Amino acid sequence: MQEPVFNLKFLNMAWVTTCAIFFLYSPLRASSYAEGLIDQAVRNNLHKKASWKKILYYSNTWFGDDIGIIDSETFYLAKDGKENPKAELSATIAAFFSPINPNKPIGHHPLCAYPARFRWLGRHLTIDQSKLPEVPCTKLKKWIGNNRFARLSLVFSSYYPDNPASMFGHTFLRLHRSKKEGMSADLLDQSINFSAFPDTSNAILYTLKGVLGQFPGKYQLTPYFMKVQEYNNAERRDLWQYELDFSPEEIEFLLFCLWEIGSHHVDYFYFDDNCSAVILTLLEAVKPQLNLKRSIKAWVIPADTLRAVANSPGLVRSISIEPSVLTKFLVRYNDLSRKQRAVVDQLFSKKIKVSQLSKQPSAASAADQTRILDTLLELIDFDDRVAGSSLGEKHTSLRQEVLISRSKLKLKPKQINYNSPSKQPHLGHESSQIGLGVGSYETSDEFLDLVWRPALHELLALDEGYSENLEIGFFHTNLRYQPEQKTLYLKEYSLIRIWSLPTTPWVIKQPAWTLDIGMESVEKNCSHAQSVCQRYFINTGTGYTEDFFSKSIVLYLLLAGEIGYSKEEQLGSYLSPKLIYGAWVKASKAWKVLVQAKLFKRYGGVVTLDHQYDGGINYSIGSRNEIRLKLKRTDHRRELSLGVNHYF
Amino acid sequence: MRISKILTLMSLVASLLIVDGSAFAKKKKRRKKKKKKVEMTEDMSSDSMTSSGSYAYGMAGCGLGSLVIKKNDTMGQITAATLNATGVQTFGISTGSSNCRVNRNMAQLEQEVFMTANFASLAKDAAQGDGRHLRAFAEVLGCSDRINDFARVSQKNYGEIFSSSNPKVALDQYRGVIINSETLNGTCARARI
Repeated sequence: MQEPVFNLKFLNMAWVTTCAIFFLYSPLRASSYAEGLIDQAVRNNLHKKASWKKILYYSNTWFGDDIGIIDSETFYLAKDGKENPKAELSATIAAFFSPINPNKPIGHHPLCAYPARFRWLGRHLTIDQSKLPEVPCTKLKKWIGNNRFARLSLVFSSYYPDNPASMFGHTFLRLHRSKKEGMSADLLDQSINFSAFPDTSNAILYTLKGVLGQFPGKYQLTPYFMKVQEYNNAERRDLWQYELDFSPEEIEFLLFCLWEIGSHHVDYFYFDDNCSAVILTLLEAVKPQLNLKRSIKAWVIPADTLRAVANSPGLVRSISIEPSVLTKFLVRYNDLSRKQRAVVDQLFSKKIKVSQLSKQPSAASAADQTRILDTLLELIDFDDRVAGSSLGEKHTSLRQEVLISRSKLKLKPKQINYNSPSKQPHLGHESSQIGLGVGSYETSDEFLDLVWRPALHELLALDEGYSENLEIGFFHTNLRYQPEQKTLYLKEYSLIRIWSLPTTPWVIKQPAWTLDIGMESVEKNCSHAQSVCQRYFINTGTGYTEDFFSKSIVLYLLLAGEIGYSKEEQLGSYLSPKLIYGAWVKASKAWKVLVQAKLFKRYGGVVTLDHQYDGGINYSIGSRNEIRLKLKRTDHRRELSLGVNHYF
Repeated sequence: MRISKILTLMSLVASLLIVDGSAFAKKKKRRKKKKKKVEMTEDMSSDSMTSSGSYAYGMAGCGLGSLVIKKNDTMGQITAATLNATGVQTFGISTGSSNCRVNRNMAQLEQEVFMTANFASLAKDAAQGDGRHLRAFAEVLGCSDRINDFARVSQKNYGEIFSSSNPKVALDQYRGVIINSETLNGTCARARI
């Protein structure tokens, strides 16, 4: 009885084994080839290659681990692919050899969906193409075939103080078409933009969610003319183009990378995973030898990415400007004689009619009339924010009248070069500042100051590469130590500080304005035996400027208001109307002086009328360092200090 | 890394925004009203596009692409949509007519989109008899090799072409002028639709 049982068992086992071998072997025939490749890839440590990590957008955490920045679940093929480049490599190879799923469109096969990874693998492993499933990838081929580009530019849109969300500027990519086959029009180029797709229009939610990475960030490909309308015309910002040293083949690879990202998203963080940072990762994916992100700080400011690109040897071929409607107007306006400028002003304010233009002595020739009307057109378009097919509201009929007269002149516009190399935004000083100062109160108490400010630019600093007449500061922090009292305290902390002192011609005079939100320590008159007490405030105001000697001296006068709070009874909660006036002198490129006074009355607590002033003299040494002498009178006490600042 | 950064920034930024936010909202609203600017936002699926009666532009010959003119919009509203047509990729690509094999409907849409997105600038270039918008439009109409004649004809007939501030009407007028121009003599092939 025992033997048959044994036999039966034996037979049974043999059957199971044969079945198992057959079952396992046949569907995995292709995969065993894949497994061989996976082994080979892992043995060669391909997953440790920087180029692999870069096409999958891994970045390092503070602990040195890899983490992928793409937040869609399907972008990484391995379950732990977001954190594990090795698992992702194996999963990717396996996926390429996976059979075609009849329930899905054939174009969804990984070979079609991840062309950049496939090309990368082809460079590092010898792949027997005949072992791969046959997928035609028609859509991908068509898309790539339709998009042949010759050159690539990184485009920076200049600062835009009207809109806090874009105060740091913005960057995107431009794909230049090849100039062959009658495709000469540069406006029909394409642009690649990475931006947040917000789901709310509530401003507070919008910004909070933006900071916390609650919006999906996605790439968009749009015709370049849309960017021109949006930035140059509607928002009046210059676009600076940095043409990059990318070959047509590299640009094609960039398109493969974009195709892979496709509908996947990156959680958009206003401060780090923002437009500029993500654009850099894309450039590095194509040229892994680049190390652009290394020089970037914890928060990414678009101008910093521009400096990273400009300072990378041989990466930038040329720099050019697409002038905004404001720049075009200013350059054309300055090109006119004083009398002709007056004619432009009068036409604009409808004091003279367009039909009477030829009767003006300064507009006798058709060429002069052309220059005047072309300037006037830029002025109208600037003032009415003419863009797209929106013709504005204020000057619609004047514009049409001017255009009809202009067409009858039968002349082309005067060619003007708008490039002004000193304004190239990468030339600006670095955005973070650290400073050290020594000073003394009039009571001869001495103090040491330590200053830190992550961003961005002050009126006293070197203004090359920055928007003139605009100060933007975030998180300005000033620690003060008084050795005699042995006290260390936060002297000043500012969340945001903006000074906009525009010096545009009278015809488009824009108001000066300021916003300052922060706290300040007051050393005097503090109760409870404390030596310092704090005052929190929001200060805002608007006014006008007047400039002299070709803008080297700017005088300003602002009406402002402050709401403040302090635990001190003397201050308490208060409201304070203010008159702020000052002079800003740009003596030379390196020397600047700013003197400012505030006359104000505080209501709440004890009503006080006060007059404060402060002044600074700044000398810039190169673009990284500066020496600054400051005199300040606040709360009945004067202080004088001398400091050095360093930009990094 | 992110979390620690956020925690430090959160408190600071939040307080800033509470104050700044409302002002920003007002400003935003006001600007929207004022300029009806060219907008480029919103992720639209192809479904929502067809149901809302918008034109999908550039879909057929040039990949997935696209720009969308919303039918009910006031002029000037062009939306660049990222289309999630296949579930794999979203990229739209459009215009650059010479890049694609263009059929009649596409050429029409392309011209409408270009005209709507660039109406004010194109009118200015036409009156001035020169400019990049004029060059681009010549290419869209298929006669960039005759740009000088195209510019001259546009300038000479500015009043007739741009008698209406409606881009579609202006497009028809423009094409009429180009087709009937003896100078251009039918070289702008795509003007005939």
